[in-house]
Amino acid sequence: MLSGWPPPVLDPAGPFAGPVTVVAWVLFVMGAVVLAVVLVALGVALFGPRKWKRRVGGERLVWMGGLAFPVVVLTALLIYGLSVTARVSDAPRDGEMRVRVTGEMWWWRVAYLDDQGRETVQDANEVHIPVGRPVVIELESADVIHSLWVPRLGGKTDMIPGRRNFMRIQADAPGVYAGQCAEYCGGPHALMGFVVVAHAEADFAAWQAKQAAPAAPSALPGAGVFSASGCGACHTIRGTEANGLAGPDLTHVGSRQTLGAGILPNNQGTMAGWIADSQGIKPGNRMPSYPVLTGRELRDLAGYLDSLK
Amino acid sequence: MTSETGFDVRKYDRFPTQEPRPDGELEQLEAAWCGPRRPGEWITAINNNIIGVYYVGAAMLFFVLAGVLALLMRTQLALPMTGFLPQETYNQIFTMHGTVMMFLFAVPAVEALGVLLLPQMLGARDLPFPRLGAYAFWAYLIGGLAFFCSLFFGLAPDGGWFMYPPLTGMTYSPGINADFWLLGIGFIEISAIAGAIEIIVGVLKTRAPGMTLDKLPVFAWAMLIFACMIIIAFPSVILATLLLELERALGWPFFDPLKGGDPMLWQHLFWFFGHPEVYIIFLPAAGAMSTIIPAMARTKLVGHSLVVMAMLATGFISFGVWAHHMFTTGMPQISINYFSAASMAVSVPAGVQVFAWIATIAAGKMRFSTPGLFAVGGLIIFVMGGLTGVMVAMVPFDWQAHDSYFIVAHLHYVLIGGMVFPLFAAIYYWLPMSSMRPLSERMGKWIFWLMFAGHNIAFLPMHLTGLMGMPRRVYTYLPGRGWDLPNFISTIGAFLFGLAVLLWVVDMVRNFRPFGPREAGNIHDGPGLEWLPSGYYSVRSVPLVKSLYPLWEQKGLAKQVEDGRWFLPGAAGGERQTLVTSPLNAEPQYVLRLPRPSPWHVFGAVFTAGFFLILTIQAYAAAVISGVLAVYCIMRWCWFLDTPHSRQTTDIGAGIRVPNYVSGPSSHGWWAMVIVLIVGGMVCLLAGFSYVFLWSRRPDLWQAPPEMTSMLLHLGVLALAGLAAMAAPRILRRAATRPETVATGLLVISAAAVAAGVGLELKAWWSVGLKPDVTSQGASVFALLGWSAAFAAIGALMGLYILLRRAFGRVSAERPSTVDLIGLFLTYAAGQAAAVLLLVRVFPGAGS
Amino acid sequence: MKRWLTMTGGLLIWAAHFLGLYLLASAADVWSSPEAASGRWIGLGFSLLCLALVALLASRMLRRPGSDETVGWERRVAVTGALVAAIGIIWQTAPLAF
Repeated sequence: MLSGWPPPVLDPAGPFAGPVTVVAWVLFVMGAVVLAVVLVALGVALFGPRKWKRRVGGERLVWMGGLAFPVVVLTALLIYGLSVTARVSDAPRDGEMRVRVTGEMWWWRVAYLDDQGRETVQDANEVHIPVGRPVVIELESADVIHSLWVPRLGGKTDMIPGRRNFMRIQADAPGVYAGQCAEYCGGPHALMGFVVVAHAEADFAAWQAKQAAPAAPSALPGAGVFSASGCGACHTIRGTEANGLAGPDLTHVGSRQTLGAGILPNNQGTMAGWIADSQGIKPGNRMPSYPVLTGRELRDLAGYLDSLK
Repeated sequence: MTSETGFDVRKYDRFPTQEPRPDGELEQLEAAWCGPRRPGEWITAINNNIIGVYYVGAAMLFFVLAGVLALLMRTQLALPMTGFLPQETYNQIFTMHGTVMMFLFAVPAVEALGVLLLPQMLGARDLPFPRLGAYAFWAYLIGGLAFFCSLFFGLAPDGGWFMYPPLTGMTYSPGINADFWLLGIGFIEISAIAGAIEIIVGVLKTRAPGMTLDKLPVFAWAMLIFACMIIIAFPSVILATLLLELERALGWPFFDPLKGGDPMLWQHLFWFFGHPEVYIIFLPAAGAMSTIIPAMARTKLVGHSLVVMAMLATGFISFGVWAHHMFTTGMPQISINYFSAASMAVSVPAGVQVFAWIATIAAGKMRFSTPGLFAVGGLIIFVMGGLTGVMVAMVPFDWQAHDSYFIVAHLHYVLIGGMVFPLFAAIYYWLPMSSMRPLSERMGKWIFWLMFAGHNIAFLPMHLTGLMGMPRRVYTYLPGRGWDLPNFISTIGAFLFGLAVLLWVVDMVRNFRPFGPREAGNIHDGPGLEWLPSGYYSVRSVPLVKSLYPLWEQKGLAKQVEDGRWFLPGAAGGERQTLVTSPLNAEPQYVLRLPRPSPWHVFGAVFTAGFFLILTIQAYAAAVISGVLAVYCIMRWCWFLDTPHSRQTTDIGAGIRVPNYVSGPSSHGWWAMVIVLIVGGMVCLLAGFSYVFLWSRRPDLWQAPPEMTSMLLHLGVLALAGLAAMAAPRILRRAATRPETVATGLLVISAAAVAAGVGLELKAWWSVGLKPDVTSQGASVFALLGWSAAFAAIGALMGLYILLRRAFGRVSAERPSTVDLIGLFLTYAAGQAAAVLLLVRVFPGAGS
Repeated sequence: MKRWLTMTGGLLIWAAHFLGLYLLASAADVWSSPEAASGRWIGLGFSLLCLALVALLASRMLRRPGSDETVGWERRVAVTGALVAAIGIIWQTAPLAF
């Protein structure tokens, strides 16, 4: 299959994207029909036989084509659009699973909320959800305006400093759904990706339990490199001394799908590359490059982080 | 039809006159309107035939420059993860592309077309304020070039053309890049509003006699609505840029949520301007289409009244669609739905116009010369953009499409089909009128087909790229998502488009070469007055208009006009004059003496530009010097206004005499001042909206106002100011002894009282501890009062000016215009200050 | 001025209607819930009032004497403008039902 086909917007994976895809197809058909009508009228006007031209060349065409026709089409579309809008947007209800995603320059801070709205598990750059259940995402921003968009699961909603927005997502099948920041947020906005990972209900519970646990004590040499290089000033690894808050929580970084906010696959090699040259990969991002680390240190560090499953 | 002004329309029957014209009349006319003779006079020139060409040329220069930026971007995006442009450079380039295209190309281009064409179309000798038009042009050119050059120093803005805070606030954009954006926009605000004043007064007051509203050319209708929309929409961006600069420079928190500001306020203000802006650009181009298509099809426009209605409706409804740029911001659903409904409604008038064009083509026989091709091609592209516009007006679809490449495709279809193609049609159609030479048909066809193909190859795939999930404003993208191929195709299309523009530049250079024969004449057999034989003085005599298509239906008109058989066939007293007529029925009212070229408006523009530029690079002392010089130059320019006339009346032909001087509400100066005050009032109204909006976000931050007795005192002072300002013109006309001195004194008292009222109010708030940089209440209260203070300061300059005029004996009861206009301004300034004062004192009550 | 107002009357009413509904929704957003039923009934009543005004204006224009070319043209602009305004007002009212 051609990569990128079908386009994610036309390939919905949940009930908040599905109706919108239907809307999209209705609109494309409408557009094609109207364009055909205009082109036929224009063709007749330009090249048609005199008799046809006379029928088209009067104020009646303006009334019929310019007023009556659009009014009928648009009235139908308006009512249809309003009903779909009402259907796919609904205020959050009690008892729904909630995840808070905070946009930061240029990554996503993720926190799972309990019933009282308190943050429980911290994560970054990916949201794990159970399939078949709507999940409410609380959208906030720590700095500038961002916008969270996972096309196969639904439309986008902005993250605006000083405000809290909501959106719902739901995936009907397990899988990884890619998304990206849609609101220009300066610098490497182009490289601010995101994934949603949908698990079957049982797998999700297992993931949650694992994620809630702190990191196991590690004897790997990379753990020493981590603390010696000052990584803990910006990053937290629960269960260790590292408790920095500026960057993503790394307690289970080895289990993530991606690195650098949705831009690199996650393995030891990319991890080492990211640490050594994060500014070359994603210019302007807040993580400094560490060219001072030796090859061996890098390998150790990457191995340690990769072990944090 | 009843007379509007008491003018006896039977006098029209005296024309065309039959008696021979006096000797030397034409020579006197030519001498009065002579073109530049020395090189310097090409700069001080103010004639619309010259400034109009400069203006179009400058706008097209910015089109080419911003187009080059587009090609750089398309090169970077041709393949995934290329390193052709660094990220910071790309972000500056896409910001500049949007800003330059919207502000330095699109608006000025259509305004330029108006400056160039309107006087000819309306049968006027020039626009009513030629020096203002020239000033606006020079400020725009100097400011625009300086703004563009910021790119070469890496100082160009990089926050997107929409400049959303907080990204563009001091925290996240500490450099002066964002200030350059605010600066660049400042110039276009000045020139757009100056142009709008010219156009409104020009269209309403300087039409040929008999040109009633139903005979007003559609293009002039479009320009009138365009200018009115500028008056309503631009205040919003003026306010937004002021607030952002206040936040950046002084830390006043309008958009900073930590202190009660709200980034959404910017979005409301920006898009309340930004969406009408699209129609501001589109309407004149649509007006050009409605002019060119009938001419190329050699038939009348079908559904003329419907087309004019559609343009009016567009003007109105476009102000109800701003929040459709904000569907994803979490606004209440019902509000979003209102904007969705209005966004659909605005497509109805567009449909009316499209089908009127098609019906017109069917009614006649289209000629496929270059203007015709561009018109038809533009129509098709515009319809496609309109259809995707309806799609994104549907809220659920917009949630997906918003900020994706689908929108990039949509907006380029609308703007290129709705504005660029009509503009090229207009250039190919009207250029022979200006350069006296037609452009090459053979090259024109190549240019059209390259541009049409290039446009579709570039932008059609972007719909798909957007549906594939590619967001806008990205400097690169990752491979493996299927975005590579459509992006590569788009890049090829963009270069084809670029090639078309390059060919066009070649054709233009060929056309404006300073040698070779120049006699095109009415090559398209156009029906409008602009195709009459003309010189720098426009037409030899101003004809009586009896039809919407005078050159088709009034036989022999060109010859009669050239022989001076109609109105105002000469230049009495060697003055530059144009005929002022009434706004509805175009009945002759008076003769307006137009100014001659002078350097003061050019210096004024240079120093105005200098002031803003130097301010941006934070050399404050030099900026102040430049600002003072700008004020001095503008005062020098005004000094020669309102000077004595050698005659009381002028014979405009067939023994009809009209006055040379009129004051009060039927004078052109009065209209211009009223329009300026509407702009000021709109800014103030929107600032009031911002105040209420910020309160609604954080009512807990609002502190109690100063005690109420001080409010009554300050209102009393402002009432005194208003009364004195209103009394001055009356005293000047009626007082028995020394009316000039008394009127001047009253104006000076009024200016002082406005300043005192505003100053006392500022002091009252300061002394109860409200600080502008601490809370949103402080910021918005001081912004509102600051706006009033700015008017008070201008009022003080006017007070100084009238004092100087009195000292030099230039205030006269026979010529009350200066006193009238200053009185009007001060009355308004006092009223505005009083309204602001009431709002901040009374709403939302004594603190909460 | 009167001729301008009658020519653009329908569209002016559309503008007043739009502004009214927007302010109503914003006020409801601040002081109660934008979804509240009372706001919707007020909105509906306001819409009907505006529609009646547009209809009144159009019918008066149609009955106004004068067969002059210019007067007839201005009448056509006014009446068709009122028609578009009425369509706009009806569409603007539709969101109240959702």
